[in-house]
Amino acid sequence: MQGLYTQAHDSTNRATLTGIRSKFDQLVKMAKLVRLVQTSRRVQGLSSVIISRSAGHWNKDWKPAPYPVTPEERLAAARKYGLRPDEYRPIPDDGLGAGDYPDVPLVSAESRDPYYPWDHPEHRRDFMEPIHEDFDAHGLDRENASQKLRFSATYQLLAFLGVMTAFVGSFYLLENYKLHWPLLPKQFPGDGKVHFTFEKPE
Amino acid sequence: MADTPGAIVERAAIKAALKREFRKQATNPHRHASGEGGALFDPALQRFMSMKATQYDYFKPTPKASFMGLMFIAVPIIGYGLLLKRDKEQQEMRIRTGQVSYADREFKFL
Repeated sequence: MQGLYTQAHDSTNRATLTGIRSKFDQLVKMAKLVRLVQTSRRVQGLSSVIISRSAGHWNKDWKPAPYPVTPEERLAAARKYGLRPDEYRPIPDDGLGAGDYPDVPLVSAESRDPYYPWDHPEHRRDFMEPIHEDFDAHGLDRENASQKLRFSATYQLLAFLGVMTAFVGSFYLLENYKLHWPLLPKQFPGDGKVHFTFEKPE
Repeated sequence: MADTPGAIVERAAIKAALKREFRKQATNPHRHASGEGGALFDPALQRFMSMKATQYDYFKPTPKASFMGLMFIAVPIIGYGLLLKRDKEQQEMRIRTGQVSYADREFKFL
């Protein structure tokens, strides 16, 4: 762990930013997880998170906190999710929100680099990367919402409507102008019908 | 503000440190011996799952949320039910008053 700290500090001019601190706090927590043996321990740097392997992880400990209003709450929430304070933005609280869960930019799995060595290649996601709220709808076998379409969605819709209008419109307009074989109905005798009047031609 | 060279370098350093730690812990042979084992616990994934499970706790009946609930849930279900009821009642009245011929009966191919 010592090598990790010095290496990171050398490359970032020894700046003490809360973004680095929260990430390294999480690393410290991970290292201590390995040393835990059936005990609970309060971890420094991550307030009010008790790691207890024997009891499991409860939703009440990991669910998002209420929407942050004061700057201190925003700072604490940014630390919690491992984001920099200037790039942390909670989901808008318009009734369909999720407390202080961050509004992570949406990049579908299919849009991500297939040749990068992801930690979880089946999701194209790295370890401890913040997850978008609709993550399960944008996996590798699902919608690719962040792709650049060759033809825009508006263009596709207009093309479809144009072709269907041409087909259906020509059907309705030409319904009364059908072409027939040059045949007349067969003329059967009987029932008082007059088919031919035997008049002299002029 | 978040795309300054300093920010990019800092994010890359954090990312490299996290990746190194993940590889180390994922290939740690003593994790199984201590009883932990299995997939490495990912706090970001756990927070996402807990958020999904407790999303109703943060629901508020704002105008936008109420409008969406109406247009996507209440109107389709109730509207479809009313349309169906009207069509079935009209057909039933036509059948009972004798306006439907035997050749036009329902299910005649069964």
